Amino acid sequence: MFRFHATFRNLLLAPLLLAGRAVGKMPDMLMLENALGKVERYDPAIGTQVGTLISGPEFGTSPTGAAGAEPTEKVAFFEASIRPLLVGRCIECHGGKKQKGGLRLDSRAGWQAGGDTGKAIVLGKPHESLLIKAVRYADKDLQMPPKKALSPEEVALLSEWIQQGAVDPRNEVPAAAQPATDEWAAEFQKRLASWSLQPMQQPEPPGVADAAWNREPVDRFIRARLDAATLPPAPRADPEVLLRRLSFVLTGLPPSPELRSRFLTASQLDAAAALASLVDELLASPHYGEHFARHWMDVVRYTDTYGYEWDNPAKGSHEYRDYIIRAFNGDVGYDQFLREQIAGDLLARPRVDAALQVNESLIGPVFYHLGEHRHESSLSFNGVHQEMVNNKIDAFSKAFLATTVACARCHNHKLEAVSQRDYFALGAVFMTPRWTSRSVDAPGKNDAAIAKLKELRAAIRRELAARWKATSLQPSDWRKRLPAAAPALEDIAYPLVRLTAAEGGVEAAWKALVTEWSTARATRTKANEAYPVLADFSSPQLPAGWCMEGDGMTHGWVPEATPLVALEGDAVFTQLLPRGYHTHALSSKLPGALRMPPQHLVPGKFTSLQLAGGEFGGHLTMDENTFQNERVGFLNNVNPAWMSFGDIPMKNGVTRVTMDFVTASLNPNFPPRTGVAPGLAAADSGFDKRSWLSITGIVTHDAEGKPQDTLDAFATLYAGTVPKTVEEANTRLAAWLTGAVQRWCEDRTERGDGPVLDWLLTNRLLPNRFGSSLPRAASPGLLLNENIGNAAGDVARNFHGENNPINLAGGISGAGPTTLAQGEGTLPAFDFTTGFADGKRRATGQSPGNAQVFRDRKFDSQNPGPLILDTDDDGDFSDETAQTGFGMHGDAFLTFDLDKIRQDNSLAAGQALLLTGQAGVANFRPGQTLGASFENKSAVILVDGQVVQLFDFTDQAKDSPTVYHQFGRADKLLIPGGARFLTFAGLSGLGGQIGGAHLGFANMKLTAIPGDDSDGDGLPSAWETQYGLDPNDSGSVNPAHGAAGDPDHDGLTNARELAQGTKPNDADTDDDALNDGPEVALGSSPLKTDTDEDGLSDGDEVNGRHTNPLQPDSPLAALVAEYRRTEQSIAFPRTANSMDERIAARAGVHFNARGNVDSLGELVMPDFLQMFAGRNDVAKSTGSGRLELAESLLQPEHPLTSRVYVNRVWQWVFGTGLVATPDDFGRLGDKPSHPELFDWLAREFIREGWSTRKLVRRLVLSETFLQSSVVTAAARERDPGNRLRHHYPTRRLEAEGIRDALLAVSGRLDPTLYGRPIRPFRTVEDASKRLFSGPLDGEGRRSLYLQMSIMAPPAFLDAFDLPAPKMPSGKRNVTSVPSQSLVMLNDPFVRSLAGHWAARLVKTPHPTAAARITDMFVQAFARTPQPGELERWGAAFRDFASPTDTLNNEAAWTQLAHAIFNTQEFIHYR
Amino acid sequence: MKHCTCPGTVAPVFTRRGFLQQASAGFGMLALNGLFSSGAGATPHFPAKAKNVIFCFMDGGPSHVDTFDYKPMLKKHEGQPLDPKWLGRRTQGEGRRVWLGSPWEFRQRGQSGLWVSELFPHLAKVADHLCVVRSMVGEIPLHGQSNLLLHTGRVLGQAPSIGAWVSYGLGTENKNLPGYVVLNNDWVPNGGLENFGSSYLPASHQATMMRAKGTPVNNIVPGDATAAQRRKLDLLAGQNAAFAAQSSDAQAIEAAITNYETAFLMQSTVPDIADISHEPEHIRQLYGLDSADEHQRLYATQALRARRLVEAGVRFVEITCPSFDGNNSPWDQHGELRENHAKNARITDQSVAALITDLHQRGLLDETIVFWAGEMGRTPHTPAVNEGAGRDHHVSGYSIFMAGGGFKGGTAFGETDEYGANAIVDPLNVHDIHATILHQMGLDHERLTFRHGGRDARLTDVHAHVVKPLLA
Repeated sequence: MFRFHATFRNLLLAPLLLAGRAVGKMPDMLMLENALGKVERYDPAIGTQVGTLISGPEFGTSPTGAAGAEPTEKVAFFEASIRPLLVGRCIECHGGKKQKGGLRLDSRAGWQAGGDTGKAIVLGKPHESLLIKAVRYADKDLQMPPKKALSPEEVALLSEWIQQGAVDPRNEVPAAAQPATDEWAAEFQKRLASWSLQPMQQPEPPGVADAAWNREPVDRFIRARLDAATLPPAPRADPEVLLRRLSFVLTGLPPSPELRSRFLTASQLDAAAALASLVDELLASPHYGEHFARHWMDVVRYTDTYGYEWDNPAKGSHEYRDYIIRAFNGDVGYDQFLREQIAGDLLARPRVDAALQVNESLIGPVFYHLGEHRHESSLSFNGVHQEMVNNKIDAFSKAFLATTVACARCHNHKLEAVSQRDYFALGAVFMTPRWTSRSVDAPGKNDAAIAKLKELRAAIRRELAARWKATSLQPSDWRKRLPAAAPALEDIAYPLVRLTAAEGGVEAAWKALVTEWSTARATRTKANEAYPVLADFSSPQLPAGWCMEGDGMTHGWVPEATPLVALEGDAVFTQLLPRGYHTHALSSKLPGALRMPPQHLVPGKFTSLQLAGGEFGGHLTMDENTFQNERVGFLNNVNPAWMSFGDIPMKNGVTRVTMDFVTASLNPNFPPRTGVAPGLAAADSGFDKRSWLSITGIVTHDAEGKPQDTLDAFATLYAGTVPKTVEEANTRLAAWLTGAVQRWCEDRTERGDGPVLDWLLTNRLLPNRFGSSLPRAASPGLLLNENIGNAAGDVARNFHGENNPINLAGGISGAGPTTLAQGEGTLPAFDFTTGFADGKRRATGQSPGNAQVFRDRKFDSQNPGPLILDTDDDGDFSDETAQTGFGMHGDAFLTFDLDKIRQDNSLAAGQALLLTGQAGVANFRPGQTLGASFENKSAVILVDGQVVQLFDFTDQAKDSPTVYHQFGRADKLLIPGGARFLTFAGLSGLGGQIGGAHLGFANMKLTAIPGDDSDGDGLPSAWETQYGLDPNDSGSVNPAHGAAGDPDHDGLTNARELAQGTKPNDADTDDDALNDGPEVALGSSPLKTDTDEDGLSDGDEVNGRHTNPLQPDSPLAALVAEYRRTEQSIAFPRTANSMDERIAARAGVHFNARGNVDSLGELVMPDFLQMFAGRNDVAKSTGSGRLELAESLLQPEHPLTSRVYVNRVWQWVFGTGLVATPDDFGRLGDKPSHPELFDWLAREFIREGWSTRKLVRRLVLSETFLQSSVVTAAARERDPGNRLRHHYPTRRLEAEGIRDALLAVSGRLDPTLYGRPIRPFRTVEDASKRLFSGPLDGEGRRSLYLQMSIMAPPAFLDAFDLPAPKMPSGKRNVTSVPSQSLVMLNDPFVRSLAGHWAARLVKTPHPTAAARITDMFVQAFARTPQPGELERWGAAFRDFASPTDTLNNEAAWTQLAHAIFNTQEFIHYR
Repeated sequence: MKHCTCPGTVAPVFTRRGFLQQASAGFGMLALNGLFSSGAGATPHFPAKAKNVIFCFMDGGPSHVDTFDYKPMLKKHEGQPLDPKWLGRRTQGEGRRVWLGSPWEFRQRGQSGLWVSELFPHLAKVADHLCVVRSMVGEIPLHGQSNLLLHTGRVLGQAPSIGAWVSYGLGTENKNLPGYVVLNNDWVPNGGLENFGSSYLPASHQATMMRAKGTPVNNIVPGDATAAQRRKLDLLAGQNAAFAAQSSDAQAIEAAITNYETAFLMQSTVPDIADISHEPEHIRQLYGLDSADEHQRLYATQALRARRLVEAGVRFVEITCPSFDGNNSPWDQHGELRENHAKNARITDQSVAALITDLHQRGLLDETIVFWAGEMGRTPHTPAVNEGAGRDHHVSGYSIFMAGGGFKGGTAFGETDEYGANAIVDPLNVHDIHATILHQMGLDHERLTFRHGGRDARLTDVHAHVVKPLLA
């Protein structure tokens, strides 16, 4: 029997909440401590329940009535277990609506009064209580609930509750969710008469006299109304006008001149056919999907971030954006589109994009997650959560129903047939599923790679087993591995140390050990009985109700001592894993999540898990789905350790608290806001993270504590007789150790062998290398250790090196940091005038062999980007993260030879560079603050001996375990072209002494200021100069200096050398005795001496050994290389914040009387709006009912679904919908201008398979659409709003359209589809709020790819009526204000694109200015200029060009280009 | 806590025609084409007392018990643990908390005897102008929500800022200037730029941002020499006129043409107003422009510009506080209260007082409301009393003030309990303040509406009453 007493003190989370201050100094330390398994206790006597809600006298009642009157834990028990049970099973018949048998169970007074047959409850005496009798079904005349008996567990809960005294905080008879008044019923009926709720009619298109208008039904409806009003339609627009209109309407981009000439030619042959084919071509363009996706993004309040104090990325938002684009481009039916967004996670057969390997359906529910997310928990702050739910209800009901359900939060809707109950019932639908991250990769995407990895792991294991079998261990082997300090009892080294140090004879020592061991084992075994096991993972099975996600978990179970194959370095295995789930067992790229059922459904007061994890693998706790909070903790331990999670008392209407154990990509709150994930750079959006998590045991228990190791590893050692001599003892020890190895080799590993084996492996007592070692730079002196790249949040460790941090030893003696101000001081230990003899870098003092440390990424002249410093010196520049860097104690410095760096990167001598990165301080241990010992710590950057940047950490370091100065955000450091030496220094302020703390520089990057190509041969001038080619000779003088030249005669032209990254003046760039040309031909790398990484250089293999340079030549090496290659080939997962309902039970939402969140009414269970009662099965669902909800909306006779959508499409095409208020079909909304047409279209749309493309095609090919923008005086007079559609309106481009048109016309548009959001350009960055700037022109990408930030949306777009974020907006404002003129006139973005366009224009050989102006008109306006216009623009050109009136006066053309951008015609179409 | 507003059933059914009529009558006129209205275009609901607002936004939450709400009991019981009954959902902090006395002395000031602490020596001198409300109650003690509540009347925003409402309701008096200007140094406060946004109101009512250093307003510096730009505009005028003739909505195109001319003028008007170099030395000193503290000079610059902007006819000017230490809300002193509240005070006190003095001596204070408020107050309690002690978030009772614009000077309205924990006498919420400010501007908060989301939305949601006792 479970016991549910509980003091409900929350262990893990209390410190987080205590420190719930909103500054950037969140309790990293506490979280880390928690992550390491340290459990904080708080004294309940001083009121430390999490988020205690004790109202002040003036703030009304608390949700539990008088807090303090009832024992909190009992109230919590009631809230967690009893209230939902009563609501779910009893109150329907014994509540406000019905009082069967005269009994009410919806308040304390109710059951106290009892029913017709007497008191329902006898306090403390369940067996005497009628309630229990009834639910037990003991008496055949009294069996409740009548239809289906309660489960034994539920009966037990009720008994327990009565036993405890039936604590019931429900002092008042609750506000009924459905005010069952006659007035409302009557009013409701009346409101059902609203036009939009009436069945769709089946009108026949009327006939009209004009034959051209009598073909397409749309036209017949429109024309009939026009005829009736005796208003003529406008004439058909000219082909040029139509071309531009269609191009913008369908793709949001201007037509290309090429398309224009094709269309105009075709039009002359057959206008109708040309038009149809143009429409089809535009509809087939991928830009159609982009443009329509942006429309839909308005409707669903799309943003890329969650706001609002720290602009956290919204996980998977851009996946959803791309999903929408693909849906429109693939013409996915609106029925499926709607179904997926409402219930995509529930579809029996999800829609999978086979080419992209994406589970499209699962992305749909990102819809819900959009909008602002809080960072706090409802258990701390009531009210925010309800605001978020409101946003979901608002978005859903406006987007799909054009109904304003959110108005009914505080009372029945004032105007519509929506009751307040409807609001909460819909809220319950949305709150039932778990809101969490899902892996949206297609199922089975990685199966082949995973199967291969498993095979390879087995093969590698066999290879190594063959070697280990021969292992013989001698005392001398293990003695050198023994720790100096006394190890713990469970440490494998424990008997080894004890026996080595044994005094008084081996026999006695052995006996003592055996006694100690067996006593401890017995005690621990006994103690462990208090921890009933939920799972020990001896088989791959989760406890009932728990649920897993992601390939990392699905394929993560391993038996004892399964090897973890090393992914880099020359070791084969990293570790031998204990049995259990390890998401990284095959690859740390694979995502994994374990989801625990709601805590109150798990037996026991505590649930403890044996966890390990790193690289932002962690756990999170969510109350009532939370949406986002900061109850996250990141693991940072390799060996699994027990962590306890206590039951959290629920309040504020929270009915569920759930926990997820997740890798970074499946953590819906990752990345959290700045500072919560120690070691994660502020700018890191959390993409492409390796991350891992191990779970090796789950127990549940009532008492505080954790299970202990039962010392199984020693069982085989101590079995048998006691050895009498040292030799005997050694033999026994050796046998013990090798026994485990032998069993492993024979694949019959026993419990307890794992720790022995892992100890042997990690102490390097077992062979673990694969033959010839991989080429690896010499171990650097200052570069730290193996921990670099371990992103598990331990920044400090990354900066702490075993390898002699270098003491400046008086280098700056006397010049302490307090006096070393900017521009002052030098470092005399290094001569900045003469530099290095060998051109390599230097550290102070005893410079070790670290010349390789500071290699740079090869400069890619095609895509000049940052030169990322290989700070972890592994020769791989792709893995540089904020966690890689170099650290130093105080008073040390490192100097780099910039000339060498330029040289190594094919940069011009004197190339100016930009330095970015981070400087920071850290201590040995996370969580340890630095305090006073850190006074005067500074990190300094010097250029040629002059201090150019000084970071003083004195203040920050005191109370924060890790402090970063975000160097490189607001303050990029320009290193002038003439600079020769770059120095990083750490000052301790201790006068040359090495301080305890460390200074570090991480993620340092140099960016070359890109050079030009003066001779236009495609080879950058700087590159040419660097390699002795003439930058002013395109090859016309000396062919060797052009793109086709090959001055080093290696078989690669200069162009190919540039592309390959090889040197044009060095036949063998990588010095492996194989020239660049042959290497490229052979397929080996001209930049890598050993392409297959088998320890043999390419030249040696080809010319010496005649082996294959592409295949490793040792079987073990080959297997490991294959394993690593396979692992490398796995793509990082796509994940998105979606829904998971696999283990969710129906959840209710508390009714709030008058919308007051402190007034908890009854629990309202999932249901759909009463106006659709009888037409849906939402309430019958065993889950949220979302799928039933979606299906009910898709019934062909649903009065709203297709009308609402068809109206949106009409608006997208015509500018104004048939109903002008697309989000509101209610009383305050517009009425349809053409009701018959509207219903005809809505039905036709369904008949045509809900096809948006067919609908759009029909509309844009109608005569109605093809009208010109000309308005007659009569029409203007009698129908100024164009309700009758007597012309096509002149329309301003939307914000995105303006920016996209600028990019397209200027030639800067990068038409790439999809991808991660691009940061918008900002004038100021703020790392603490994650507001970073991107390039001015957004990389030339279309506007919908710019990051839509809640806190600060892209400024350019914002100027042109970008809809407000967070809320659904079906229709945009169009305003015209002077600030827009200022943007177009002066914004550097607009001006730079004018320059870009002009540069392109002058390269086109136009014979005259008029010809060029004509071309500009064609490009910008899709028409040729009138003679008057040619004259006007020609005159302007002459004015701007004067006095140097040449056709190639680029400045003048820039002015003209800029003027064209500023015309109204440019931003309008008609 | 009520959340929701909906039109009453008696609400007139809006017709398009009705809307247009209403629009042409003033409200919403800007919605049609977004032009800055001329002064004559917008009519208040009733005669206005004030024409302009200068909102000194004390971002982060200044401590009420260290500024305007004198609580000797805190000193008396300093360090003593408090009963958990003093905690609740409108104050931050759990577990063991102790009272924390103010490090600053309080004195009664001016003829009115208003209590002002020594933290604000300059404001103390203009105490008789201050109408302090000491009984403010907010919703949720978090920055983002409280900032949005203060600005938009909603804890989650999704609604126009008060500055946007004023601009929408009254337009600007100067067609070369916007109606709502935020002097904010590129600062994005918690809650985001939405604090200054127009939301569902037309974008013309969103704030124009003006920074103290560098180019005052984005894109205000002409990209061309004047002659070249003039040439370009002339070229455009001809081209656009021809386009207007072919357009179905010539008016909109013509409006855009006018905008170009306005923009042309703004390029000189805005920098002129922003340029305070010609202000006389005594004025510059009054505001603190001679301060050694860079942040104070920054704030002084903005305060002086605020006066110039309202003189030029800008309806609503807001000044944000500079963050001197990179903290994401300047007044947010969870620790180091003594040191950093003093820094914030030094940065802002003199300039705000100067603004009041300066407006007064120019006869502008009567028609200008100086509104001083943070989004919250700070807890009178703390985890432990020590040198670096701080105060946490607190919205169950805090102080703000208004000066000028018909507000009654030398007033202390409302009270908190003896510890400054909860407002117990005349509690007010942000909506009441909004309604009262609008009232002084001649706007009825219940009639200043915009059709949105199925209702006629307004700044004050379903709340608020005009607080007459605050008015002279």
